[in-house]
Amino acid sequence: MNTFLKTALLAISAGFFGLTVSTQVRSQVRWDPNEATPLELQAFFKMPIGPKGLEVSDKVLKASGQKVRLTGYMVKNELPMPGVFMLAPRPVQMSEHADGDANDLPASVCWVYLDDHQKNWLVPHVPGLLTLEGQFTFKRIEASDGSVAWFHLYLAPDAVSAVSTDARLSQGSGPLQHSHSH
Amino acid sequence: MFHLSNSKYVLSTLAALTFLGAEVMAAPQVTRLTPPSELFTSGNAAPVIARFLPDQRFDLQATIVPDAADQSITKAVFYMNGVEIKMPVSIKSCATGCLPKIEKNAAIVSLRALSNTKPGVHVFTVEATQSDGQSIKASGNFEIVPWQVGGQKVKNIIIMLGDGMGAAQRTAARIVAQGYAQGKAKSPLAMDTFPVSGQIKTASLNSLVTDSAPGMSAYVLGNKNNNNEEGVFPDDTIDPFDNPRIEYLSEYLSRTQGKALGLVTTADVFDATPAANAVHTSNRGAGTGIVDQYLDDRKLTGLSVLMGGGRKWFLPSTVPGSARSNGNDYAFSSTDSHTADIVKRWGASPGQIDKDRDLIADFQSAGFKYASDLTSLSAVDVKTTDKLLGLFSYSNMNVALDKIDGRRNIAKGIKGRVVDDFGFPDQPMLEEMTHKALGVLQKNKKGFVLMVEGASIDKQAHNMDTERWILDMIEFDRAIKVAQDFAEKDGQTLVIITADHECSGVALIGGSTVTDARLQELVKEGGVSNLRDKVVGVYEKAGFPKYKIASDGYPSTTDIDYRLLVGYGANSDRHEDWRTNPLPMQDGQQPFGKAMPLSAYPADPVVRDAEGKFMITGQVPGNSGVHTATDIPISAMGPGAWAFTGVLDNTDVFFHLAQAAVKGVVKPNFLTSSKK
Repeated sequence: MNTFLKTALLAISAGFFGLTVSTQVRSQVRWDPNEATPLELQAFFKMPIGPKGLEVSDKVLKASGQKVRLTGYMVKNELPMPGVFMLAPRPVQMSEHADGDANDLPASVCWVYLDDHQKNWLVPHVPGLLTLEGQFTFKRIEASDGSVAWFHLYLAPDAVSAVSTDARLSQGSGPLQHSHSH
Repeated sequence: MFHLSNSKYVLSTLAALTFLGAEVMAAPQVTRLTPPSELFTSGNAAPVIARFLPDQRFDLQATIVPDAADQSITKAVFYMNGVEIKMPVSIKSCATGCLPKIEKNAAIVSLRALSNTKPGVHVFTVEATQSDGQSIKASGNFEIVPWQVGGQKVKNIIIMLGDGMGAAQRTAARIVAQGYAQGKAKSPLAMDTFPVSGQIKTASLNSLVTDSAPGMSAYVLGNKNNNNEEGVFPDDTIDPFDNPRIEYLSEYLSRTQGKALGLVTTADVFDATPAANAVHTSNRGAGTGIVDQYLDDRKLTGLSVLMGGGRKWFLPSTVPGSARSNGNDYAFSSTDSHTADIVKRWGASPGQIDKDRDLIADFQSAGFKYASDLTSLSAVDVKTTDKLLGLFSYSNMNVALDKIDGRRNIAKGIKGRVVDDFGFPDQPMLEEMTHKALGVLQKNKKGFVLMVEGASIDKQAHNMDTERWILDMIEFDRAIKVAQDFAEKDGQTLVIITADHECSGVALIGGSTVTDARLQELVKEGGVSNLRDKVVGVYEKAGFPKYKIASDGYPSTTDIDYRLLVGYGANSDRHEDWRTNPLPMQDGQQPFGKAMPLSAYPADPVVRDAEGKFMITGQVPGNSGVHTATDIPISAMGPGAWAFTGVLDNTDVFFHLAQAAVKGVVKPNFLTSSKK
């Protein structure tokens, strides 16, 4: 898993600089389908959504607390958050400054967390489908600003090792911090 | 930063006092005085910033800073034109609950729900005393706009609000939906047939470039708000619901005439534009409190119809997917007069911190019928329905292009249709919501105010997703036709069409000089020389793009030969290939769950359409197009329409609407023949 994630996040960093991730690098990804249970973001809720609430699928309930593999699109935040990003079943761009939480996010958005020692790091946006593994939790968590998240994926500590210390929030002024691919 | 502005206020206070010939030896300082005025800020009596109707309610407030840490504010009195206002004044200590850089011994003094019936400019003064007996006075001014003797009184007001809709957006919709032949539009948009047009200045209280909250609220308050704030003046506390209030048009007409309020949007219903008709908050993002206040204060606003997206705010926090949070809810104290006076003086609900509230159930208990999709909306019998809640999506509703593709059963989504991807396959179009809203509201014999918002004209312009905002323009125009038909039949209804601001600096730069098949080839070849020089036809090479309109009223395809080309003057970096994006921001034709970690498919305007390698450098930072300060059009029909011509400030609209509804329609001076 770690090899996979390192490669993925290496690509994230490279993508941030507009660098091309070579197909050779991608083809070297070692993928063990038995390591984690694949879970579809699209299947988080029973669809279509009923007249009132949203009904979580049995798959999600079973997967909570387990190691899972999620594939989706990293949400393009106008205001990236340190230590966390969102993974959605569809590509979504947010214009938070103009629209706030009146957004186009589907209900089944998963928050992806970096390890605690990387909580001040910003992960540059990477376009396209992204597959990540981690510890999955289904739980209501409320952030200090009142925003609420229900689905969470916790990455391994070395998952973002490709992002250098230059990417620390405190060292930059732009919304996405400078980072180096290794 | 704060110290600079603080100093400015101090200087301003001194200037104001000097102007008024007041004593300047007092030690406490007035750092903010509300309503905002140039008299307080710069010492100049004009322009007058705050204006109100006779008897329109608003709050007075001041922030007072003692001269020493061991001092506190012990007394505050407000005066109107030198005469003490005999109403309770609350004193809130800033020991807690104020902005971080406000001194802890500062105080915020408020006098709630004042009104004044005497026309003209009034000077109001605050006098505050600190614990050692020293005092300070500071003054500001506001105007009560006089009524005019009018004729026919307008019973109903409909505000059609195309969010982000500038002149170019209107023209684009006409070109696509109606077509041109030898220089003439084959037929007009519904909005083109409104007999009166004017131009609106859109600046907010604190910026040339407004956002949707003050952009909307100016029309229904008669006053400027700060960006991100709605129904309130700015203050120095952290509570987003305790700011000085201004009475909305809906509240004024509900209180004085018993009119009902309807809010219909394609956005999340908590979004700025609908909320800026009924909710008082300095944080347009405080979703839980905003939707709660819709229901809690329905007796103040007359809210009878609320439709759009945003179900996430209505579900108890125990329901997965609920976005309700105590952190953005509201509750007023029963003992601290700072907020208790909002309840006591305004008659507002005290609210409650209750993330577990089942707001749909509470709406239903309050007599609202609930529709969750088009099927249930269609089943609503307006003859037996006085109040209606419709929540058709999780947050924003899907845009017109995706809803129409859904109805045409076009599978461009990841699993089926785009609307299926979101789990809401049966969403109504805006005209269907408008039609139902009018059916319910017209039952109120005392009339109504209805605001209908085409929300994603703006949201898709932010994304510079041309076809999606154009189809939302067409959807909006179809809703306008519904309102127009109603008004023509009714004869007592004033309809205005306007926007809160323009978005992304849209410019119709010409037409494609190639077929769509050739365009696809050029996209593959890529580069400026192909995608700009071989495609963009300007002047006579633009021709007249011809879109074929299907029986549902929308283009059968937007990828036509010789298509309309749109540029953006307020754009972020992006790639352009001129073709319709198959999915919002993404070509999602790849099967979901692809094993490879990364694909080449883009997800933002920079990388979207990157295949063509035609990069357009943005003038603005970030990833989105932005609002612009450009004036926007306004159109009007019905009794009172003539008031909406010329170049108007956005706040002027409020006074014309109120005049028409309260004292009757006034013939504008320019229509009279008398000489000066």
